[in-house]
Amino acid sequence: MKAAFEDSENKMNNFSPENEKKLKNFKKELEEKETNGKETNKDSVPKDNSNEKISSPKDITKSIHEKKEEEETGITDEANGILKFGIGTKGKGLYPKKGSVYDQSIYLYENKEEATEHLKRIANENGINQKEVELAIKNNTLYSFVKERLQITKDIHKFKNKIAPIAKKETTKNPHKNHKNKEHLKKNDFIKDAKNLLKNGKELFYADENFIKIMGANGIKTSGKSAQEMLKELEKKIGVLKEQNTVQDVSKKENIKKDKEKKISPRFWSGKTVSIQKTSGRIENDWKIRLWRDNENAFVIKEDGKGGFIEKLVPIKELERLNPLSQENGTKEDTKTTASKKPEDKAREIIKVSEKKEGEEIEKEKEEKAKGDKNIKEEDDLKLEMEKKEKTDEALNKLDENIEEKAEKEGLLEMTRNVGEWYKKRTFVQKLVFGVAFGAIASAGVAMSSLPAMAIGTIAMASQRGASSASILNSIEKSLKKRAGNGGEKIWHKNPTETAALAGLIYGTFGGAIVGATVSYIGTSFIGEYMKDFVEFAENKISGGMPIDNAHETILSASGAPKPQIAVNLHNGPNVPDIKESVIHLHADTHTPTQAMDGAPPIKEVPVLQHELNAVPLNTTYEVQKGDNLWKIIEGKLSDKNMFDKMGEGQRTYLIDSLKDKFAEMSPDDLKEIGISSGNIDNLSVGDNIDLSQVFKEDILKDATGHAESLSNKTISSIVENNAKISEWVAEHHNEALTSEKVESILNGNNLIQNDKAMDIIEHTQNNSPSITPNTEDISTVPDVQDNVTQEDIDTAKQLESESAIKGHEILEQVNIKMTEDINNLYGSKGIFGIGATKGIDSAEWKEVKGMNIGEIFKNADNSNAVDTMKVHINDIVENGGVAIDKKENIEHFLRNTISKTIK
Amino acid sequence: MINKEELTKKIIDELDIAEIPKESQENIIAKLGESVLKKLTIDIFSEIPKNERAELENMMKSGNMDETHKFLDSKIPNLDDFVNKSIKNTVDEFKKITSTI
Repeated sequence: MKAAFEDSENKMNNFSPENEKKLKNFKKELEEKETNGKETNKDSVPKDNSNEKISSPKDITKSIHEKKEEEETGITDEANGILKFGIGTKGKGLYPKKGSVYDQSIYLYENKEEATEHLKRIANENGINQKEVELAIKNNTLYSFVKERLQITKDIHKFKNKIAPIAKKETTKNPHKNHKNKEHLKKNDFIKDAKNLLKNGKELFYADENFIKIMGANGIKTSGKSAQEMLKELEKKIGVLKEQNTVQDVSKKENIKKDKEKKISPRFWSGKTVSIQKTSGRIENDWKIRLWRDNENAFVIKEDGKGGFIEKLVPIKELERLNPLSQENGTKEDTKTTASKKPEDKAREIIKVSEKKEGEEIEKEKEEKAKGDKNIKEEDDLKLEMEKKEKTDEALNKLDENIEEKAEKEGLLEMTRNVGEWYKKRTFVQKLVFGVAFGAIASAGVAMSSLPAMAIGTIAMASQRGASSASILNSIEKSLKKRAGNGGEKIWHKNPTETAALAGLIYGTFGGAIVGATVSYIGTSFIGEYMKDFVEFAENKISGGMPIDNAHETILSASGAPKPQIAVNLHNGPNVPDIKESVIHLHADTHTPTQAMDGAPPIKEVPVLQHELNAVPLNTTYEVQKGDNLWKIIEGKLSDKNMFDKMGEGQRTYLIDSLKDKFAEMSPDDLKEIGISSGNIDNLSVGDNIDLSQVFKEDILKDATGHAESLSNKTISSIVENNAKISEWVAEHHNEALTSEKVESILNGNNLIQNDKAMDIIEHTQNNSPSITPNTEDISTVPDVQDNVTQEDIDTAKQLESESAIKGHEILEQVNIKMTEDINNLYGSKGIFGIGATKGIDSAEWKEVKGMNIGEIFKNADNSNAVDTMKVHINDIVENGGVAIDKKENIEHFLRNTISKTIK
Repeated sequence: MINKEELTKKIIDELDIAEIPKESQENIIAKLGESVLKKLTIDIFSEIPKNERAELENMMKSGNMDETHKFLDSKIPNLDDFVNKSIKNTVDEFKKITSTI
């Protein structure tokens, strides 16, 4: 454009009178067009026509105006009699005609030299003597000289901003008859134009004729003012707020008015959660948000992971003042304004205020930022984890649906669901070991025959009702053992790696309890055999008592329970020290309150009988010898285990009988399964290899021992007395068979026996504790005794037992009902309208006291509510029933005994 | 050297659940065990003629694993491979479903 201008200027110098006619014609033509209402565009820039051949300044003028017309330029300079160049650019010339009646506009230059040259040229072109011009220059009067000689109305604009070009002043007086500049502009147009002018106010570097015209139309005086001053006046005049760096949509006038009134958009307020348009990266502490229509407040945003929320309002001035890089602080301002790009975010812009800080402040900021980034990362990671987990859960559910569909198709839905239900009832660790075992097959490339056997065994156990973890393990291990013995070679010899892995799995779950519970069990278990054979695991290095099935559950279900690891060295076998440590730890944990892994309440510390903990390991298999009977076998095993050390005769008898009755409860098939070939506990055969482990479990032993130790003196005396009578009879009649009938006669009739039996049944109710049978060891002794006892005798004895048992169970049932009722009354809660009702028999309070003895109830000074309640209850019984109490008597036993007496 | 943790890690990697918390991993493995067990039940019983299924069920309920194994060995050739395959198929199906979600 500059080149074009200069070129035109040069051509202008060649202006000649010959072209005046052309210029006049052009003027006339242009006026006609304007009269016809042609619209114009004031801001257009003429095309560069510098290459066109123009013979005179008039041609040039014509050329310029032709371009202006082509671009629908508005108010023409020609109409005002003004010749100018470079519309929209710096004007450099003024070419008033000599003697023109028009008022003229004048360009003034800040640069004196440039202005002088211009004025000289004007004077020369208008026929002023050059000498006069030179004199005026010398006298510094050129400006006034030219104005005077050329009758130019003077009007000077001075700009404060030196960068700004010289403003161009249009005359306000226009005597031209065809001048229609103001006439066709309506008032509304002026306002509209004024707004457009204001919105670009900062970019207006000069005041062209249009600028002046708009100012004039809006009542702004244009004399002696800079363009910026005029803009400010115009702004005040029309009452429109200046808008910074945004394009105002005129169609939203109503919104603007509303915002003007409220200053702050009502959609936002301190604390309001907003969705922030992130302009670059994450929103940081130094990011601020500002509503685009609000020039007064900025909003400090606090990120909350999802976006951010407005934490507080800060005046923009304050915000800028705080910026150390702002102009006020003498440094370059680094305030960046970024308009939101999303439509929903158009109502705001984000201003990043970079704050330059020094020393600790910067470090602190970095730390906070790093911390924030870390938190964000953690949140992102957590989100990913959650998504992954949800996805996996969904996959598992889908898998389950597929399986059920197939099960339904195969007619196996019920069975499949039963297996699923059974599985769900397993402890978490049990489930985990199954999962890992199956996963080992599917994922870890562990393929050994033991794992399928374990899987099938698991399904088989799932088919059984009430199968405990120990019974599951027994079956699984039994199967494994059988396979291990195939071909005379142990399974771990064939598959050391897989076996080690499996051993680790089982040990880590079931095995810890097993190993810790009994060495004898190890001796017969898969794990035990593996350990002994593979790592020479010494039995005597393990402290422990009898296997406790309940202990398994306790340990397995406790979150704090150790998960023993067997670090299996393929060459050296499991890491023995680890195992020993685990065993010790397991024992310790058995008595440590822990939180159940699968949501069960904390396990209360339960005192374990000393003799159990110190018991000698027991081999639970026994091969029947001549002269043996089950009573003798049980007695021998208990004796071997030193279980009788602190027991009297009555308690010993009670304990043996309790265990004997456990065998009696088994079905013939079950008895055959454990090695009693006849399926009858009273008919043992020499060579029978009996597996006693199902009865010699720690929970059963513990329970029976507990009852034995809490027997009343009266019961003990009765048992001892009966034993004495029987023994005496046997001594005197060693050649006679001791039948049940004989027992009855010895003990003064059937009633005595039956009553005692019923009594003892009552005393050992819920655990199905056996009735106390007088020492009838000779009845089922094999085979020598069997020779002297007829089958009829045996059947008779059984019948008596059966009858007494039936009677006992009838009483037992009544006792149970009454007992439950009493406990529910003591510890139950009816809730509110039945909501929140709890049964006392299931309450924690009852569980707390039922294992205590009476002495413990009355001994504690600082009692729990449960103990206090029981104390009151016992006092009531004693006072109202005249019942004597034994401080050593177990609470549950005492209550049942009391109830049974009442019933009888 | 192989241990339970190592084995578990292999499984976790195979199931592509390494990214989620350990507790969730264990839950998934434990729950997967149920699916595997149920599917294995279906697969085993599907191989048994319908008129003999009750017999197998009774054997299982009796807890006599020797008889159960003997029975299954007679009905399903290569029982161990069959079980291995069933388990692997279930886990593979799980992985396939996961990849499609």
